[in-house]
Amino acid sequence: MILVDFAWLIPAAVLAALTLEVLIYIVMRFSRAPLPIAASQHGGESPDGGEAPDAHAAQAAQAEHGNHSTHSTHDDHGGHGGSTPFWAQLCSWIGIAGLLGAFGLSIALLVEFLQNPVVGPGGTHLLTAGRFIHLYDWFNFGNLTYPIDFRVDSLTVIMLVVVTGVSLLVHIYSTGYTRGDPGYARFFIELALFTLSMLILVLAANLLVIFIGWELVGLSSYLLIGFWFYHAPPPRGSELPYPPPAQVKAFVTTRLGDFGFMIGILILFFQTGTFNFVALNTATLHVDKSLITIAMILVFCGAVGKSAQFPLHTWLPDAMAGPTPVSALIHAATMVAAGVYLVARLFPIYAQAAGPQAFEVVGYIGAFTALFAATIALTRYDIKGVLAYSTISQLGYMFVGLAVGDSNTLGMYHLFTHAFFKALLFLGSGCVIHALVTAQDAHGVQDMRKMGGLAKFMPVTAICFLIANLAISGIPPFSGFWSKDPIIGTAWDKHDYIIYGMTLFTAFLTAFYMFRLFFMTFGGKGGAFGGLWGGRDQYRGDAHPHESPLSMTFPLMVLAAATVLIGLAGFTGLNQGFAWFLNSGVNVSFAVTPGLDLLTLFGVGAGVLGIALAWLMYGLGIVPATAFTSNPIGAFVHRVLYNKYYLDDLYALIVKYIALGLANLAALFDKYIIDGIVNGSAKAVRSLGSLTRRTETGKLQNYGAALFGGAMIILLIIFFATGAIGK
Amino acid sequence: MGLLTFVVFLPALFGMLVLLIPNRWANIVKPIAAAGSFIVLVLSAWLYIGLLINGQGFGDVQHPTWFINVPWINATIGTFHFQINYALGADGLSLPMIFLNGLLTFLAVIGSWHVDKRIKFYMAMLFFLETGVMGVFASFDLFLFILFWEVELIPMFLLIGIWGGQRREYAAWKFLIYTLVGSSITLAGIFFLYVQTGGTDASYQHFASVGSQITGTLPLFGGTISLPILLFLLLFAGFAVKIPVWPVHTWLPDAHTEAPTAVSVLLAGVLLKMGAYGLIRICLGFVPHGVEQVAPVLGIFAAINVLWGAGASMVQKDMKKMIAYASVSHMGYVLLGVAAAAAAAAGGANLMQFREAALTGATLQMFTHGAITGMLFFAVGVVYEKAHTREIDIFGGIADRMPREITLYSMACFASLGLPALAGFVAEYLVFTGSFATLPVQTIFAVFGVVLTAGYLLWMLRRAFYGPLNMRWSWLTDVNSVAEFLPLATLIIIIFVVGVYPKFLVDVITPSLHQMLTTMQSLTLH
Repeated sequence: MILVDFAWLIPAAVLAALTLEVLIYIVMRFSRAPLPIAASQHGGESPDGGEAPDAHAAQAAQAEHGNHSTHSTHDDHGGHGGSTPFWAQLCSWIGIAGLLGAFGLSIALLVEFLQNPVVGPGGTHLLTAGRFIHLYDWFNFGNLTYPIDFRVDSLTVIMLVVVTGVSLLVHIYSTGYTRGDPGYARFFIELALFTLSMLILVLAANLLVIFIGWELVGLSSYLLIGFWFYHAPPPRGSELPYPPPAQVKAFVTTRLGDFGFMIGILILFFQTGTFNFVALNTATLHVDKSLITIAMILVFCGAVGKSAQFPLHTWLPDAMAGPTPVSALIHAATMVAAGVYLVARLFPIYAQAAGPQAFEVVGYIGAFTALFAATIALTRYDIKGVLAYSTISQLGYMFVGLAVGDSNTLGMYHLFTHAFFKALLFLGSGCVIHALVTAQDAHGVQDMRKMGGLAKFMPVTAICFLIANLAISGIPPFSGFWSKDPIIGTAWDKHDYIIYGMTLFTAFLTAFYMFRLFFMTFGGKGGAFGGLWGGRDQYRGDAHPHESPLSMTFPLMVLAAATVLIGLAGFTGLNQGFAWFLNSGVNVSFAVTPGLDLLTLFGVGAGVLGIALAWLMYGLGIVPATAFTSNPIGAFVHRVLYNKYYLDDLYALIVKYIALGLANLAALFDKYIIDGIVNGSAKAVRSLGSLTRRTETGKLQNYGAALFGGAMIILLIIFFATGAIGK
Repeated sequence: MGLLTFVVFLPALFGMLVLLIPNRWANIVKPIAAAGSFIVLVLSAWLYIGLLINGQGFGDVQHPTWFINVPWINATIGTFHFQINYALGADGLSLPMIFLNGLLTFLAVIGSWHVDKRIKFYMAMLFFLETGVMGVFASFDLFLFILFWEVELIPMFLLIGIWGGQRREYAAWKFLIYTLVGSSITLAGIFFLYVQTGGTDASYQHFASVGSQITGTLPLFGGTISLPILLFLLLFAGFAVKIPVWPVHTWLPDAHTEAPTAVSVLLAGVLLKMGAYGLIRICLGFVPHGVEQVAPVLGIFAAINVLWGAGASMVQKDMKKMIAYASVSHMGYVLLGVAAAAAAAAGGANLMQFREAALTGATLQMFTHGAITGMLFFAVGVVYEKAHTREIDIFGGIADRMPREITLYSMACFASLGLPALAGFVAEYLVFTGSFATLPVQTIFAVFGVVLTAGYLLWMLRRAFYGPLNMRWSWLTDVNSVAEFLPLATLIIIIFVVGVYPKFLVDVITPSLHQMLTTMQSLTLH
């Protein structure tokens, strides 16, 4: 009996927490007369109607009166509109407790896997064999089964640690971030629902279960993006997304990818008769290679949707309409990485059973998306917008890593490091937004043009943010360097020079836009360290910025520590160990290990160049910020980039004129053609006269007569026409 | 066992009882109706559970449970020998439907608590409708089947025509004419089938064993037509109207829009399933060669149903009409499953398991669609009873005033768009994985319907419920009476249980279908 047999306890802990939270929620909310979700808890609506003030607005009013302690003191139950009732806080504590249990178990599992005990007959080790947990079957038809199975192997364990770890930190962070929000309890319920779904996804042993988790994370994503569904739409021309349409867009766009995923599953299932990952690895080898190639490209469509790759990426920036902790957990660290996890999980099929075209598609889509999203990120002023496009870009790197690597290690290692530093970036931006609540921006300022010099106000946030910035820019010794640089290097090694060029240039852009963000937010011309560390003089807004409470800074510090420690451990060969771990205890080389060579120099050099340029433009102010946009060509390019290559507009046109156009045609066809015929013939019958008038008396026998009469006439026609009557 | 007789005729008895209540005691009409329909529900649940408990050798059409067979009408006209037996029975195909009918009728009675117009007559009609539908599913004699099929028409016609909305008379007549024309053709088909198979026995057992031997062609207008196809087309006409299959679907949106909430629930929940049931039981069971020969075309119609219904849903302004078109779309999956189960595979492969998956999926979809669409109509009914309008765009942000409503409504929508852990997904997944084996192209088109469904349902929720509250509706109240809450809560529990652990249903369904397919298979393969 070993620990891994109890792996089901991890989702069970979260499920238990979720169930308890829901019960409390139902009892507390639904037992009384129904309460409105948002508006009237705060003393009614503003007179102009429509606007629903929320907790942030209430807090903003207080902030205007100079009472900064609203945000920073923990035990402020001052009875203002935004206080959180005890039962709602209980929900969050239950969630944290459940996540603590799940995280503890995941760590214990990781330790057990590292010890790699002998588990099977014949001396098979845990890392090689993994562990299969059969729950129950949905159906059996002959030898076709639809089983609900879990499987724990090294890939799963890594994802378990990432998911439960980041989710735990986001839970803690959210107790501070959403404090006083009228939807506090709902928020934690939806977080727990998401975590549970994500755990189902990573524990899945087959395509059926992974699809279940896959769709369920989509649900939680939908719910959490629309968490503030009652907000007023942002003003015209704003970069800010609006929750209600954003949640629909997210769900439907990912569904579009799932359409391909589903067809891929259907092909695999029909060809092999199984959903099971392990069985598929061998079964697909005996199937027509081109068919498997097509199937795997279709499966990748699902990943394109979920991981927001071109051309289905447009939902992710809009998903930033959700609360920032959600952006950190779902739309940066875990759910959007599910596509990468899916390809990593099916890596053997991609690498062996499918033709090389499958991974070529993955690699080129990834590389193109990385570059494409990075160019858009250059022009964003919305702090979360930059981070959203950077997430899309980094996910592209992961796909490149999977496509060019000899194993799934490269992509997964970047997923692993990215989860921490990107969660850190988002949570840090959440601290910034949370600190900048004003009367005009009741939900917090997100426009970087109204920031600057925040480092002095919120030093902890700034330091943590800087660490993550260095990591994402690929600067040693931070974690991102150890995961991103090998991806770029391997592309060169595999002679994929186009991919190499794109990813290298993207590394330069990444460093540039991330430090542009840092300088615009925390620093500014005239600040300390050449503009890196700004203060009041650099602040361009009119809020009263302040450091966040410990509940929010603590997760930042943990994530920053992880980013640094994972990075430092790189010198002791952590990535090599990671490769060993992921490859079932087989020692495989990490392809290109960063070292003192030309490839590494180029990779790091690109990052350093980007930082330097950003420093010159936004820190020192030597190069004007308008240097590239002051000429007509630059201005044109900037306009295209700022409008996201007009893709959103194009899609909107397609939906409006093509999809809805066809739909309208169908509806009109029904109304005028089909019903025209029906009504016309009814009129013709009625004009026959007396027969109908008698029918309308409603006598039963008349219906019967019509029915039998009709049947007899039809029969006679048939008998006559077919000659059957003569038999 | 006479238990089925009770299940079929007890509702009619209650209906008459309700009619006999003197007008001055009108306030006991609803409690009596609720109690009566609850008793029927318990009985139908008992049938189901009883089958689950002592489920040895149950299920296929040759060995129905609760079987009862009494000679009834026996007439000879010339050489034509005409015999109707009072034969009732149940197997895995019909039992879930019988239970669903009992359940939805009970919930419809509860959900009609606000109805005051001619309440006695209204409740009686609901009961008569229940008897008609029960009879359709329980009959084991083809003439008895069509008799019940027609009996169901009258109460439905009156329910729409008297208690409906503004255009109720048009909708009721459209419903009646469509159905009458369709079922006349089906009746002709039944006579034809009866003659072709000997003309002495109209029992299901008889057709199931000899129906598949019907082969050959007939001359028709100078050309020839395969006899099984002709039989199929005749029989299918009435079922196609009921399912409904494009292009004879346009009665459904009108009927739904005008019908009161509870009647819409029954219409979508069980009446459409009569068509699907007929398709499986009678067309597939009795003229398998006919279905097999038209299966690819049937699959194309299924895909058209799915996409056309979804497309038309997207541009509807009325919530109820949107859900009605969604029904057209979702019944397409049933059609697809049946077509795929019958279709010949490329290269003559057997693929028995895939056929079984497809057909089980179709049968499951009949049940899950009944529960889900029933819930959707109840949810729309809550809004309509308060606001007296269902136009999507004139609301806005009302989730703020109706948190319970939006929670339950969203759950129904997600079940409908095939979210895992809710029932719709199970059925759709099963249909797709099965049907891809024999009808891959049609399946791919049908799968795309899943994307569209998500689009129109979520976009509807977004427009009506999300965004800043439209102050015009600030007075709206939430789901707060038992009559509103009970139907929604009951259905979501069932939807959730089936979505997580579908074995309860599948274990009952599969044996019957397995038998049907094995019989078919042994004939198709030579």
